[in-house]
Amino acid sequence: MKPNNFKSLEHEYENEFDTKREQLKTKVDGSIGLIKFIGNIFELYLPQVLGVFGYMSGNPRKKENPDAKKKKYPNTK
Amino acid sequence: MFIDFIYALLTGNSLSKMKDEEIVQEYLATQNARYFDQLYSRYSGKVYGKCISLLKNEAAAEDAVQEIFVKILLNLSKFSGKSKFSTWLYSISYNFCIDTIRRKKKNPNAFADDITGHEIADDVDDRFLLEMNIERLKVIMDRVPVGVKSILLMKYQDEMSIKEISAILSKSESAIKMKIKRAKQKFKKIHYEIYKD
Repeated sequence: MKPNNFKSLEHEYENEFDTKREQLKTKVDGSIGLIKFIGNIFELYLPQVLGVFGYMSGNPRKKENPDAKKKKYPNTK
Repeated sequence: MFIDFIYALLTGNSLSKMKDEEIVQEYLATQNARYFDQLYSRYSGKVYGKCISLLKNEAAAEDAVQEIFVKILLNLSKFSGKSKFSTWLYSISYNFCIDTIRRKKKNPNAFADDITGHEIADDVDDRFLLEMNIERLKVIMDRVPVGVKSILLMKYQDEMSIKEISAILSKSESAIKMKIKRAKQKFKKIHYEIYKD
């Protein structure tokens, strides 16, 4: 096998990184957790926010059919 | 470790024996953080090595590793499997570091200008670089411009093909061959300036 000191240099940096590995992993997990949290918030509330904007811009909310409520039994005419 | 062992028993596959590409597929299918942890433990040291070589600053390198892995996780679904996972990961790492340096220098051509403008002499033997004493290698790599450094790391540390390097740097294969040739000459020149042998 051919000697390659570029690889040795890489191993040296990897060994140096061993002490920092877990600490950095916690930070990475924290960042990912925050991004997922913000994503969830958007997913949960974005339709409502868009609905409010739509309503404010003059598009009335879809009203329920008043006749539908009168039906006592859903599958009958 | 114990949890990994139980998990391997239950799922019938040992994470440590799985290929990178299989781990990516499993992660995308299950969203189980254990798969991402495995990729992190395999590659975080290597990514750190590249970042510290290019950025020359421990704190900046740590921040870069953090941002690169977040970026990777968010873009994992874009990994097509056409190249090796390691090549894809390294391309993100190199481009991230190069962009960081460009932003600091506030010069969009800082990287491009590094290895142009000096004469093309005889080709330098690969063994001259590969067999160099590690302490000398460190000193020279600290002195070479970032463009030279990144191309030498891709070629000799990551053992990427010309085609892979050309894809990462968005240059033609012949341009990459020329850049490698010039990078080796620059390396030799700096070696001579420091050690005179």
